[in-house]
Amino acid sequence: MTDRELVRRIIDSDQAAFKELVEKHQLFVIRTCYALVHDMEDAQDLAQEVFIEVLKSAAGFRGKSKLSSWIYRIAVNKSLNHLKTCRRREAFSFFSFQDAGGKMKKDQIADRNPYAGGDAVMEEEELKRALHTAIDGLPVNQKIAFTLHKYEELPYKDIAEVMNVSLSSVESLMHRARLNLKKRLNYYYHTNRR
Amino acid sequence: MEENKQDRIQKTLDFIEKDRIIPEDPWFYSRLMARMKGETEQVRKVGLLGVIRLRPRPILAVIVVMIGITGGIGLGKIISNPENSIEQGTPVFSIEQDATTAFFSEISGANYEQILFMK
Repeated sequence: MTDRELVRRIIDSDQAAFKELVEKHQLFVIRTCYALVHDMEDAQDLAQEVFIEVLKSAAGFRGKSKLSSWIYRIAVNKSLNHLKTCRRREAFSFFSFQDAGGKMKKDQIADRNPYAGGDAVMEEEELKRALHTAIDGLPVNQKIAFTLHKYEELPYKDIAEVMNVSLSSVESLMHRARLNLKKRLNYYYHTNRR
Repeated sequence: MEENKQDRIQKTLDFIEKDRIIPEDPWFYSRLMARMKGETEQVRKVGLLGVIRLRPRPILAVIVVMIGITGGIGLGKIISNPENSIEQGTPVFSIEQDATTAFFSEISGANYEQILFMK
C-alpha cells in the first residue's frame, strides 16, 4: 500500500490503516523525540501526540514529500515545542516551589544515589550526560540535522526534505555540528575533570 | 592527558550507538487509543464552563493584573489632581487670589527699586 492510499484510508476513518501507520512508524518517532528531549517518558508522550496530530491533519498531507518525512517534521516540531515549554517553565519555576520539570529526571535520581549501580552503569550515565549536554548546546538546526542523521541514520537527502532546506545546507549543518560537538565535549571534560 | 581527553570524547560520540537503541513497546498503540478515547470523552463532558473551571489560574492572573492596572491608573489620577494636593476645603482660586493681591499691594505703596534693592 502506498503512502497516499494509507493516508486516504486514515481520512476515511479506517482504524486498521491507522494502526498500521502507528506500528510502522512508532519506533522512529519515539527515537526522534528521545534524541531531542533526552527523556524516555516525555518521548513516549510526545510520540502519542505526534500520532494524534497525524490523525487530525491527515487531510493536509498533500503527498509532495514522503509520509515518513512529514511525520518526522511533526515529531521534530512537537519535541522543540516541548523543550521551549520546559525552558519557560524552568524560567518561571522561581515562582513555584515545585521542581521545574514537575518531576525528577532519572539521571538526577542516579546522582543522588551513588550505590544505584556498578562502575559500568555510572560510566554509561556519565557518557550519556556528557553527550546530551553537548547535543543540547548545539544550535537548533544543527541539533535537528545531527540527531536525524546519527540517531535515525537518515541520509542527507531525507534530512533536507524533513528540514525543508537544500542538500548542501544539510552537509554544512552536519559539518558544523560535528565541530561544535567536539568543542563542547572538550569543554565538558575540561570543566568536569575528576 | 590530552590523549585521554580525546579518547573520552570519541567514546562519548560512540555512545550514540547505544543511546539510540529504543526498546519495543507492544502496548504503545493500545495506550495511544486509550489516550485518544479519554481526550474525546473529556472534550465531550467539559463544556465552556468546564474549560473556565479547568483553567482558572491564567484567567485569575489576568484579572489580578487588570485590577492592578486599573487601580494604579485611579491612584495616579487621585494623586495628580491639584485639588487634592492643597489643604482640603480651600479652593484653588482663593489661594491664587491671595498671593496676587498681597504682591501687588506691597509694591504699590513703595518705590519699585527700593523694594528690590533695599535689602
